[in-house]
Order: sequence, then C-alpha cells, then structure tokens
Amino acid sequence: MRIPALSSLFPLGVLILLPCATSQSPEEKETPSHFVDITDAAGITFRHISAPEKKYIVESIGGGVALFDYDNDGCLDIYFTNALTVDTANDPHASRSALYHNNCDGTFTDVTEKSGLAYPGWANGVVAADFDGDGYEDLYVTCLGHNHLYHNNGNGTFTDITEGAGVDDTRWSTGAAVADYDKDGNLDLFVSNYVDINLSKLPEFGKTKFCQYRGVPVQCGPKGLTGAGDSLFHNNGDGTFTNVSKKAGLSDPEGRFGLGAIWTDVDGDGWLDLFVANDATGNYLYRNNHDGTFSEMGLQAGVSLDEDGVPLGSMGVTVGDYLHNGQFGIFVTNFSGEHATLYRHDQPLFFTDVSYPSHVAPISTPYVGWGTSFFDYDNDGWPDLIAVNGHVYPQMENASVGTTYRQRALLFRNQRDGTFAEVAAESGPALMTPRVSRGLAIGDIDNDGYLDVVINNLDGKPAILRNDGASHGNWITIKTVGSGKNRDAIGARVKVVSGDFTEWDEVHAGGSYLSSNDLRLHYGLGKKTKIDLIEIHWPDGKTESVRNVSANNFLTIEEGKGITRTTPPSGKR
Amino acid sequence: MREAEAEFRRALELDPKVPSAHLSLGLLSLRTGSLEDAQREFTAELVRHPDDPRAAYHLAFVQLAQQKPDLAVPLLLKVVALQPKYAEAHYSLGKVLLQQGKVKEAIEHLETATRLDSQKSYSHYQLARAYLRAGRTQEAQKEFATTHDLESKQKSSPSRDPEKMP
Repeated sequence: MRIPALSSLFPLGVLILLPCATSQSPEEKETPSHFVDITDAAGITFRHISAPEKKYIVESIGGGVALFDYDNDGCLDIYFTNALTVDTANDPHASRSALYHNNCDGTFTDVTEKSGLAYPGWANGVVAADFDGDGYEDLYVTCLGHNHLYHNNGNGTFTDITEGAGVDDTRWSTGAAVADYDKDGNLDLFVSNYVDINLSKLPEFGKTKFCQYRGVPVQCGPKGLTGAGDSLFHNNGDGTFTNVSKKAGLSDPEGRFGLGAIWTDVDGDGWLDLFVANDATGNYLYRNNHDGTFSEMGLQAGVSLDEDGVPLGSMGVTVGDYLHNGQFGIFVTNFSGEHATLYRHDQPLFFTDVSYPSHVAPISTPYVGWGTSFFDYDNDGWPDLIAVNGHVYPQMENASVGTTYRQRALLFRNQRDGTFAEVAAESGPALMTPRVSRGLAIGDIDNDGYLDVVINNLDGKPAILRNDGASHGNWITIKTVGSGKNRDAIGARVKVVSGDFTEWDEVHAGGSYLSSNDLRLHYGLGKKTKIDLIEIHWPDGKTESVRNVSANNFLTIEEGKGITRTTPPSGKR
Repeated sequence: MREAEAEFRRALELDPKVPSAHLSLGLLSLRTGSLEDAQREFTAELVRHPDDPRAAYHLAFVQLAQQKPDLAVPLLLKVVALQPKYAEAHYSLGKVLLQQGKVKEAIEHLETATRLDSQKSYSHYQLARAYLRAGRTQEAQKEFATTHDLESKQKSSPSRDPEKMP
C-alpha cells in the first residue's frame, strides 16, 4: 500500500479531477493574478529547434533561460539556449541561441549577433553570475559537447573564455549552479551531467525493451544508458578554475542522470550545500563539510527518494520558505505517472515528503515537470509554486494512454497552512496553454512589483508571461551587493520582518531546470506597507540589518553600507 | 469495466451477502479514481464480512489517500492481526505510525515487513528513517545501504513506465 502507487492504479488524467481543498476567502477569489502572454508584443522571435520526432533522448532535453541584467540598466534581459539535432550536430550554426535586450518599455531587442552569444553549439542550460566581480553578469552555458563561459565585457559583447578559465566539460552537461562554497570570496561552479552519450552509437528508436512507454515505441533512455558524472570547478580568483570534483566528493562516480542543481544552505550553518535532481535515480544532497569536501546524505535526509523510497524522474528543483519558519522546503519536478515532490524540512537535515498532504502530488501526476520556482506571484506574503510541463515523447500525443505531449503549466497557490491549491485556470489562459516546456525563469521583467514568468519551450517559441497582478499586495525587492568579488552576494540569506510576518529567502544562481532566475529577492507583503527589519546574512559570514523600510520599492543593499538605492516601480500595469 | 460492474450488482441483487462483490466494486471504483465510491463499497464489504482482510486493507488505502491516517491505522492493525505475514500491510502500518511520531511501534512493523520480504527497497528505506528518528544511527545506515543496493539493481530496469517498476 504505497500511496504513490495510487497514481498507477488510475488512468492518468483521472486524478486531476480530485478536489483540492482551498481556504481562499471570497474576496481573494475575486481578484486573482492574471498572466498575459506578451511574447509577440514584446518582440521576442526566438524559436527553439529540435527534431520533431524525438527519436533520440538528446533531442528531448530542451533548453534553459536566464533572466539577468547584462548592461546594468535596471531591466532584466533574457538569454535563451538553443539546441542542435542528431542530423545537425556537426554544424554549430544550425541553431541560434538568443540574447534579448530589455528596452524597459515592454519590448525587447534581439542583440544576439553583437553579443557573441549566438552559437554555443548544442546548448542546454545557462546560469548568470558575475564570476570575476567586475560588476557585469557573465554567462555559463552547458552543452552536449563543449560548455562555454562567456565573460561580459561591459559593452554589450561577451568573450568566450572557457579554455583559459578551465571550465570546460565535454560531456552532456545540463544543470549549472554557482556559489562560493568554500568562503574564499570567489564564485565556484557546479555542473551536472546527464548521460554518457555517443552520437555515432545512439540506441535505435523503439528497438528494444528499453525503448517502450506504455506499449508505445519511443526514444531510449535514460534507463538502460550509462550516466555521466558531475563537475565542481573551484574559482582560483585569478580568472582560472580548478576541477576539484573528486577531491570535493561531487564527481558522482555512480553516474546518476543529473539535471537541475541548486546551492542552498540546508542546515543553516552558513555554508552552502548542494542539491542535485537526478532523473530516474536518487537525488543528491551534498552537505558542506567546511573543508572543501562534501558528504552526500540525500537518503538520510529524506530528499533522495519519494516517501516510499522510490527514485523518481527528477528534472527541476527549487527551494523556499513556504511555511515561514526559516526552514526551506525543497520542491522537485518529476516524470509523468509519478508526481512532483515537496520535501518539508522538519528537523535539521531531516525532511519529510509531504507531496500528498500538501496537495501537490495528485494533480501533478499526469505531467512531466521541468522548470519550477517558488515565487509569491500574488504578493500575499507566502511563496507560491509554479511548474512547467511537457512530455518527452511526442508519440504520447495520440497514444491514448492518459497523458499528452503538450501540457499546461501548474500554478500552486500557497494556502498558508502547508497546503497548496492549483489555480492556473483562475490565472488566465496563458498558463493553461499546452506547451512542451522545459526551462523556466522568474523575475520582474517590467519592474512593476509583480513577478513574471519566462519559459523556453521545445520546438517553438518561448512564452513571456507578464504578471498583471490584481491582488494589489505590497512587496519589496532587494538587490544584494557583496563587498568582495561575489558582487551579487550569491548565497546571502535575507530575512524580512513586518509585524507578525517573517520570511527568509536566499540568493541563488541556478536552479529551476537549466535556468537562472532574477538574482533580486522579491517578497510579497500582503497588506503590510512597512518593513520593520531586513536582516542580511552575507556569504562571508557578516550580518547586517536595516530597519523601517517602506514597501513597494526596489532596494539595493550593499554590504557594510546599508540601503544605497531605492527605486519605485516603473512598470506599466 | 461497466459490464463487470453490472455483473457484480446483479449478483448482489440475487444475494446481498455474496462474498467479495462489494470488494470488487470498490476496486473498480479505485480504477476510475472515485475514492468515495470505493470507500462506500469496501465499507459495505466489511459490514457483511468483518474479517475480510482485503476489504480492510483497501479501505485503509482509501483513508490514507484521503489523508485520514487516524482512520487507516485501526484497519491496518486489523489486517496484520488477520494476516500476520502480509508484508505490505506491516509496511503501510509502520509508515503511518512513523508519520504519527509513534517511532517504537513503527519500527516493530517495519522490521516485520523487511523480515517477511527483504527485497523491497521501500521497506528498508522506511525502516532506516524510523531508526534515524529513534537515534539508532548505525542501524539506519545499514538499512540505507540496503536501500541503495536494491535501488541500484533497479536502475537498469527497462523503462520509465511506473507500472513496470517493482
């Protein structure tokens, strides 16, 4: 009687009819936030390319998206990765990744050619971070083949410095996450790898028992294929990195199928730990030993498997203080026939799978989940959840096996009692549109105080979903600036207190699925108009507080200097 | 499924006490995702045949799916009393008791589950979690290692179809 097996008893799709209790008040129901697809209006013409039949697993993994302000004009720009196909694998110009400059007026301009970011090859993931502390966000792009570290020159162009920096990984790289794990002041880089693949010896579509799904011939893998290990690159502080994967204990000698990754201080000891979502194998939780090494303790902590000890097809990951207790829960998106998993942090390094009691499990069962993020979309002060979906097998579209190829997104509203209600249908048709989504990044692209959604979809155009928040909740957005080379203070933990409201967040570079969110921290405040305390726990161990701050502003807080800039919202609503 | 349901209903019209008819209707309801119908049928089976462990087990299944562990525990205790060698029932009972913080009792049933069926990784996993909660770290590590070994064997299982997973 393993409750997750309930899903396999039911025809997929039936479970979505199960009622989800909601505690929303009538007043709240009248004013749901509304997401509007502005992709075309914004001038985004990017198209992700992949072989439509998806005969091989390499053609299903999809692309990521980064929201970052490459020119420091205060508006988030967008970078989409693009893929090749087995047929075009030897021609890096067969598909084009894209950088869009945010014109700060609701439109974007394609600046890819000038930027030098057009052709990284078979690109999958992307993470934005200022690796050298020069004040400009750089990009690391993971690929099937050579990865790329692009240095931001500060003039709209980027230079590929991968070779000199020593951060290449020629395997099939997917997730990437950045943090200063050893507190030396320099940003280090973790790269997860998926399958050890040889494009000249690909397993044949539908040929063997490894290439069937519910009786339908499909692409092979990852089961039956050999997994690839992972990489940790230590930043030497001089523009070069050293691969310390084995020494640190992060090399993944078992070869699990690594995808999403995120650095987070799980045990609150001030040192960043690492979570890696592994497809079809147990997830990793690496605890930082404070000496440059890590101990893997996913099983012991209860986040490797589901509540019944079953490894799931994990893709994306996000962490958040969804209970307002300062203990971050971990949410992981998984394959169809399984369910998304929410791990509640009950005791230090002891999590409980609360996917069913929190109501995220039943409705997520028919979907293959990818990009995901905790984000307070309605500014009520409680982190909500989003997960974007889409199957890996186009053959599912007409297979009548209870799932589909194109799938809608899931939006979970935090009900403030440890449970979530799925409310995508109440939030406009943009989230209900079936897509084959992969990467997802969250950020306030129009600086209006409401978090927007950007999705990289397989085989087609992306989706820029503007949040026309209608709930009129107050908010605060905080940009942290560290005093050393970690300029963005990646890894900083920030506590915001307003009356009886206390919420923690953490600055992450990487996470979701192959993607990189806005580095600014956004807190919804509901009806509260003033913040009593903002407490920043900087990555170097220092703590700083600012008090009595008005809501509805963008703050820049510099280490040791307090608030150095306050900007009101500028977006048009 | 409709034909099967009609046959069971007809059988009940002829003999309201026919064994397993309500149980079968409950299982059909489960397949269509109707937990409430399943609950009603399993309950009806238990009214007529109070010592049917299958009806009790599946009713407990429904109660757990409905997040009603307090109602599930007595049913599971009944199942393991009726069928002491039913590993799955011991596992489920141990898991629920662990969730309720009854660590000692949970360990008892989870140890029984792993003894009755040593090849189920999830039983070892749950037992390891229970040992951790009890502060029995070394025993927990041993069970985690067993979980890992069993999971590793499953890594090379054919497909990602959950129905084919053990």
